[in-house]
Amino acid sequence: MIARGDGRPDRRALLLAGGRGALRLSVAAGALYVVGTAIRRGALARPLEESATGVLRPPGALDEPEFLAACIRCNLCAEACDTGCIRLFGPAEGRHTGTPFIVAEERACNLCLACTEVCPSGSLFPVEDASLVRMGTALVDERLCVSLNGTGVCGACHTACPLKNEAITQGNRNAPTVHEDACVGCGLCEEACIVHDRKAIRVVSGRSFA
Amino acid sequence: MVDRKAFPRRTFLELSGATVAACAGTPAFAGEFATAKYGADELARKSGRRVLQAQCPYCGVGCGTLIQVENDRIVGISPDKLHPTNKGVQCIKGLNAHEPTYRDRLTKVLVRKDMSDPATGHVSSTKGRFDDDVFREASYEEAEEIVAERTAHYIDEFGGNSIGLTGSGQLTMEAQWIENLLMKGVIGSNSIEANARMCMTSAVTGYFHSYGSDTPPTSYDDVEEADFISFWGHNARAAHPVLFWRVADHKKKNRVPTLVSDPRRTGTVTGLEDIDPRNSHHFQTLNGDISYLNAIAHVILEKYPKAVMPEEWLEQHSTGWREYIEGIRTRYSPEQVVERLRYVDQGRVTVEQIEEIAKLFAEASIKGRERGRGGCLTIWGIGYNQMLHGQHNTISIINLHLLTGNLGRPGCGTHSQTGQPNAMSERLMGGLTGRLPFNKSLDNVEWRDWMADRWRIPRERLAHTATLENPMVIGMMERALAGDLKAMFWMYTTHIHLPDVETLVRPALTKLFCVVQDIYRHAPNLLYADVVFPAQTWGEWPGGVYIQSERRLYVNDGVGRSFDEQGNTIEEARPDLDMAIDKGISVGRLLGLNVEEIFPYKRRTEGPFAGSFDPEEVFEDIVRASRGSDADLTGMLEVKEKDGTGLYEQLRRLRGIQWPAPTYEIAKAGGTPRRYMGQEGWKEAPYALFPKQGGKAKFKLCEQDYGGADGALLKEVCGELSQYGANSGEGPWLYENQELLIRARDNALTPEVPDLEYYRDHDKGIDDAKRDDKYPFWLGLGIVYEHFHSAKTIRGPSTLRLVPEQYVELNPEDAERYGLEDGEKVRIVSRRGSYEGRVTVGTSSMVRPSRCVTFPGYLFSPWNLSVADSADPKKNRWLVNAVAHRAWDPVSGQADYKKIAARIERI
Amino acid sequence: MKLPKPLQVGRRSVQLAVIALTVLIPVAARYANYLSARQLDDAIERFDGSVQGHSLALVDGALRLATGAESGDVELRGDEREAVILAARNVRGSTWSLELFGLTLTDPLAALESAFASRTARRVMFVGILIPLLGTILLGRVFCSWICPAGFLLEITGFLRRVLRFLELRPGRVRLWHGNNYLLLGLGLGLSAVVGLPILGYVYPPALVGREVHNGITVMFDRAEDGLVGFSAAGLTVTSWFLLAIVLVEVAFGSRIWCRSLCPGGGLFTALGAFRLVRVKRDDKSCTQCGECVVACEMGLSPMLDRTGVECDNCGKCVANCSDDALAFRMVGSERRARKEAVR
Repeated sequence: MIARGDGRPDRRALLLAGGRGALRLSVAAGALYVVGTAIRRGALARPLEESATGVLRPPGALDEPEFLAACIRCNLCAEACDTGCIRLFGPAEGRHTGTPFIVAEERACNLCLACTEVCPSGSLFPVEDASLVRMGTALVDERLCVSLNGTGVCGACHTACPLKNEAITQGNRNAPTVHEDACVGCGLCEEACIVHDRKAIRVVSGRSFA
Repeated sequence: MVDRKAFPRRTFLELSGATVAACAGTPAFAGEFATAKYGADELARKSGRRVLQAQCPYCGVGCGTLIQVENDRIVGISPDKLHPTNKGVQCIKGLNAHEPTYRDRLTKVLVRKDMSDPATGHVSSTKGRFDDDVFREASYEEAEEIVAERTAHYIDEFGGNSIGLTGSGQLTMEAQWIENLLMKGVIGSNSIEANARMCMTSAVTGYFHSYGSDTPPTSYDDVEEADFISFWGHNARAAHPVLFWRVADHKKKNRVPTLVSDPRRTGTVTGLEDIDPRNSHHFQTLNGDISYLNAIAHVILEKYPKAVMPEEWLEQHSTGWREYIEGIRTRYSPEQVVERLRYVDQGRVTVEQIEEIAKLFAEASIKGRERGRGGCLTIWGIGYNQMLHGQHNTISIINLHLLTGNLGRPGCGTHSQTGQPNAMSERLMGGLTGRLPFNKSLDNVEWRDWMADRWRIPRERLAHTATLENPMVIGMMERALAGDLKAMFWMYTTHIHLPDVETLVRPALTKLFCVVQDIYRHAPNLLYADVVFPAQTWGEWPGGVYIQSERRLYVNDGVGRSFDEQGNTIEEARPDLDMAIDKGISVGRLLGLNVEEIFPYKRRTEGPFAGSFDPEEVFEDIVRASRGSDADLTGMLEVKEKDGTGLYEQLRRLRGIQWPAPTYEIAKAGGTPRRYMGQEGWKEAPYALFPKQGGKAKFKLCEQDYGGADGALLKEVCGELSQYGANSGEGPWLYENQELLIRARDNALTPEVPDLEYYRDHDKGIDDAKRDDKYPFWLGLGIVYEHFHSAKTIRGPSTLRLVPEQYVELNPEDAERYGLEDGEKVRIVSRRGSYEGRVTVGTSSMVRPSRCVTFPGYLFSPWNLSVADSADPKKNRWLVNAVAHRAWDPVSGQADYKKIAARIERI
Repeated sequence: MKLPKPLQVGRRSVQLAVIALTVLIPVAARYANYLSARQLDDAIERFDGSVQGHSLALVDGALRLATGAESGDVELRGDEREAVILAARNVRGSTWSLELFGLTLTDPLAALESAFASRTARRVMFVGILIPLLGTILLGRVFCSWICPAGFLLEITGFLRRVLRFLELRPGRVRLWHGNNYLLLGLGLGLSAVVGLPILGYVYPPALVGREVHNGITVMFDRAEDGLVGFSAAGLTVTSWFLLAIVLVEVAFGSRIWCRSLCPGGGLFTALGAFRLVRVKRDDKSCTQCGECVVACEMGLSPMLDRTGVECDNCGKCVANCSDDALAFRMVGSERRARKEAVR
C-alpha cells in the first residue's frame, strides 16, 4: 500500500499510481485486442472457411459466429446422439476444435433432437418441432442422380426423407424434387443415396464461416 | 485403410472437394451408375473393368445387367442400354445387386452332428438351431456319400416318392433341367416342387386351361402399343419398377387410361394418378376380381356390342362361349355383383366405376381392332395369383380378352408378370409335380417317352413316376408331417416362403432328412438342414440361362469363383448345377442306373471354370429336347450349325431370344415376340394357333358367391378351414379334404374371414379382441419396393438401410379408433402364429417406407423382412408367414397370403 | 466438530470415481450409440447373431466378465446391454458439463466464457451453473479438491516432491501471487470476448481432459469398427504433454503453482469461494503449534497461523493431519455464535 509516514494514504502517489495503472491497463487492453484479433484472423482461421458448404452443425445450432462463441465444447450433444451422427472436430481444427459436426454421407441426423435438449450452453437451441429445424438444404445433382439421368429407378432419398411429400416429392421414375422451404437438411437423403462414390443428393449447410 | 474418423478434417476436405467438383465440373467416369449410357464393351473400356452380361437376379422383369468385375470380384452393376427390356434403366434393387454377394457367405460343407433319420424314426434334438456347435465340417465327397446312401436307402425302403425336392425360380434353366431329371428320372419321385409354386402357378394352370399351353402371349413392347392398361393385384411400381415406368411413360405420352385393382392405395395407384387423375382408376377390392371382371363383361355385352367379337369368330376359335355369355348376362350385372360382394367389399367398388371401366375397355378394344394394333393389355401379379381361386382369376381375365378379341395383336393381351427372374423356366422345365419340360404333362405318354429318351433313362422308369401322386408343395409338407415323405432337397430357396411356417413347415422339416444348398451361413434353411452344401450365386456361376416374363432367354455370365467377406476364395462353393449332377451320379449309381450315359457331362480341366461342368452342354441338350414342343428352340441349333455361333453367344449378341424359336430365321431375329396370332391373319406365323383343344381357346365362367348378405357360405367354409394348422404337428390333413378346397375355389372364397361384425362394433377396443379371442382384421402379406424376397436385399446395406424394420400398414381411421400411434410396436396374431412390427399410418409416417394406404379393417406387412432381424427362431420376431394359412388352390397349388384373419396386440 | 479421516477417504473415492467416469461415460455412450444405430443399418450383425464391430465386442467382453455370463453365449442377454444403455442415457458429459438424471451441472467458467465470447447471457446456462455456484459459495472451491482431475493429478505430485525430499534433492518452493489467477481469468475472458471464442476451455484441465478422453475413445471405437487397433493420440497427447509440463514444473519449483496462481477456473472458484461459509478453524486452546498442518497444506497455507486465505480449497488435509485435534471445519456463523455464547 502506498502510504505516507503518518499512515494516511498519499493521495498524490495514489493518483500517480492510478494513472500508471490506467496506462498499464489500457496498454494491456490494447495488446489484448491486437493479440486477439491476430489470433482470430490468423492462427484460428483454419481452412474450414474455404470449404464452408459442407459442414453441417447439429439441429438448432445458432448462426456460425455465435455458435462458435457460445459452444463450450463439452461433448454432451455427441453423447446424447443415438445415431452417432454427431462428431467433434479434432485438435487440429483451430477454433472448430471440439465443436460438433455431422457428415451426413456417412451417418445422418434422424432429428430426434436429443442434442438440443442436453446442450448446456444454448448454442443448440431447443427446436419445438423437427420440421422447424434448418441445418441446410438438400441439393440434387441431375447428372449423378440415376432417376434423373435416365439410368435407373431409385427413390431412395424420398423413402429416407422424414418429411416426405413435403421436403422431397417424387416425379417420373421416382426422381426427387427438393422443396427448399420444407427441407430441414437432416441429410438422411444423402446417407441413403445409392450413388456411393459421389452422392447425387447432398445437404449444403449454407453456413457462413467467414 | 484411411483413418478418416480420427481426422475429421480429411473427411471434411474430401467432402468439400467432392462438392465443388460435383457442382463445377462435368463428372468424368463416376464409378457405378453414370455408366448406363454405355454398352458392355464401352463400359469395359471406360471403367477398365471386366464386364459380364447377365439378367438381373431379382424380379421377373428381367432387366439386362452388366456386371463389373475387378480381380474376379463383382464390384458394381450397370444397366445394359442395348437390352430391349430395360433399355439402360434399372431399379434400386438391381443397381445394388452386387452388395450382398460377399456377405455372410457359407464357406464349408456342414453336416449336422445329430441328424434326423425318418427310417428309424430318430428326430434330431438340434433341429431349429444353426449354431456352429450343431454342425461339423465335412469334405464335399463325404457329405455327398452320406446324402447318396441315405437317399438310396429311403428309395429302397419307401419308394422314390418318399424323396422330395423344392427347387427355385432363381436356379438356372440348366440346373432346373438336371434337378427335374434327378427327381423324376433317377430317383423316381413325383414330389418335386419349386418356389415358383407360390409365385405363378395360378397363371400357369389358367393358361393351360384357356389356351392349352402355359404361354404368356405378350411382350413388354406391347406396353407402348396398348390403349388401355390394367394391373390386377399387382403393385407394379414396387414389384416390377421398370415395367411400371414403361407403362407410366406410355401413359404420359399417349394419355392412355389405366386401372389398378388392389385393396391398398399403392404407389402404383398414386403414381398413375400423378400423371393424370382423370383417366386413372382404382378398384379397391378384396377378393372380388372375378366378379368385377365378369361385371365388366356384362356391361360390354349389354352396352357395347361392337366391342364383342362376332359369334362366328367365337365359334371358330373357342369353346364354351355360349355358356359363358349366358351366365354373365343372368348373374353378373354390376348391381348384382356390388350387392353380392358387399359383405367383404363394403361397396368400395361402385356400379358407376364398373361401367366406366367397361366403357374404357370397350373403347380400347374397338380402337385396337380397327387399327390392327393396340387394345387392352391386362397385367397381373402375385396379388392376383395368390388366391384360393387363382386359376379362376386368370381364366376370368382371359375370358374377357377372348370375348373382346384383345389377343393376338401387338399392344394387347394377357400378361402375367412373374415374380422371380427365372420362374418361367421352372415352369418350362416342368420342375413341378406331374409336369414334363416344355409345357407337357407327365401323363402325356408320347412326350414322356420322348423325354425319357432325351434324359437317357429307361422309359418305364418315367412311366412309373407318372403313377405317383403329390398334392403340391403344401400338401407335400403335410405328407412329410404325416410321415409319408422321408427326405428333402432344398436348392436355392427357403422354407420360409411357405405359409403356416410354425405349425406345418418347421415341424415337418424337423422330422425330415434335409439336404440344403445355400449361399448364406445364416439362411433359415440351415436351421433344419442335416447336410449343407455351400453354393455359388448369381454372377459366380460359369454361365446359365434365365427366362423372364416375356419368354426371353438370356444368359448369366459369371466369374466362376466365390469369396467370403474377408476376400478369401470359398473353395467349397459350387454351382447348383454341378451339385445336382453329382447327386444324380452318386444316387443313380447306387440304384444301379447307367449314370455315365445319363450324365455324359465332363468337368472342365482348364480355363477359368476348371473343375465345373459346362452349362452350355446341358443347355444344348435342353434345346435339342425342345423339338416339336410349342417351346421349340431348335432354330438356335441351326444357327449354331450354319453360322458357328455358340448358343450362349447367340443369347449374348441378341440380348436374349424369346421362345419359341423353331427355325433359323426366327432364332436369328430374336425369337417370337407374340403368340396366338392365327386369328388376326397371322396364320403363317409359327405356333400361331392355340396348341390344344383343336386349336381353340376355352371359355369358362368362373363364379363367386359369399352366400348372402351375411356371408354365410364364406363363414361356413372358413370355419371348416380354420381347423387346419390349429394343432402343431398333427392332422387333420388338408390334402385329404380336397372337396373343401374345391368348394372354396368354386365360390371364389377366402381361406379365412375375420370377425367382421366384431370389427364393426365400435365399442370393442384392441384389448377386447385378445380377451374374446377374436380376429377382427384382414391381413395381407406382400412385398416392398426396396427388397426382393427375403435373402439378398436384406443383406445389402443400401437397401436394408431404407427399409430396415418390419412394419404393419394400418388405415388412419383404424389407428385413431384403436388409439394406435404411428411408430408404435405391435404384435400381429393369427390363429397359427404371430409376428411383431411397427405401426405405419398414412403416407407421411416416420416408419419407412410409408407409401401405401390400406382400407379400414385391412392390415399389410411385407414378407421381405421376415428374417431381417434374425433367422434364429428364438430371436426372430418378424417372420410373417407364421400367420399365413395353408389352404391352397386345388389346381394351381398356390396359397392365399392376402386374406388372413388377424388381430393387433399391444406390446 | 472434527471431521477426520473418513472425509479424506470419501474425497479420494470421489476423485477416483470422477477419473473412472471420465473414461466410462464415453465408452457407455459409444456403446449405446452403436447399439441403437447399428441395429438398424448393419445387415450382417443380425445374421451372425453376434455384435458387429470389434469395439462392441470389447465392451461386450467386459460386460460378460462383469456379469459372469458364459463365454459360450453368442450374445449377451438383453438386460446387461439395457443397463448400459440406461446408464448412458442418464449419466453423460464430463467435468466440464455433466448431465445427471436430467439435471445439468455446468462449470460456471463455461457459462462465463461462453457469455463473454458470444456477448450474450443465455438463460439455459444459468440453470446449469446454479448448483455449482451455490455449492462454491457455501463450501468454497471444493470442485478443485474433490472433482477436478488435474487437482487429483497434482495432489499426487505432492508424493513426488516427498520422494525428492527423501533423496535430499530439494524441490523449489516458488510461490506466485495468488492474484495471478484473477489476472489470467480476466485476460482469458477478455480475450474470449475479443476473439469471439471461448478460449479458456482449451487450457482448463477439467474441460480439456473430458473432451480429449471422449475424443480418444470415440476414435478408438471408430477405428475398431474399421478393423483397426489404435487409439487417437493427437488430442490426448497434447493434453498429456500439457499436464505433464504442469506436473514437472510443480515437482521442481513448487507445489500447486497451477491451482493457486495460474488456473483460470481456480481464479473463478477462489473469487466465488472468498466468502465461503464452511472454513477450517483452529482451536487456539488445543493447538500446540506443531506445524503438521503447514507441512500438509499443498497450497502453502498456514492454518497454524490462521492463514487459510482465499485460495484454500477446503481439502481438509490439515484437519486430517492435525495431531492435536485443533483444526476443524466450521460454519462461519457457528463460530460467532459460540463466541457470543462464551461472552454471555
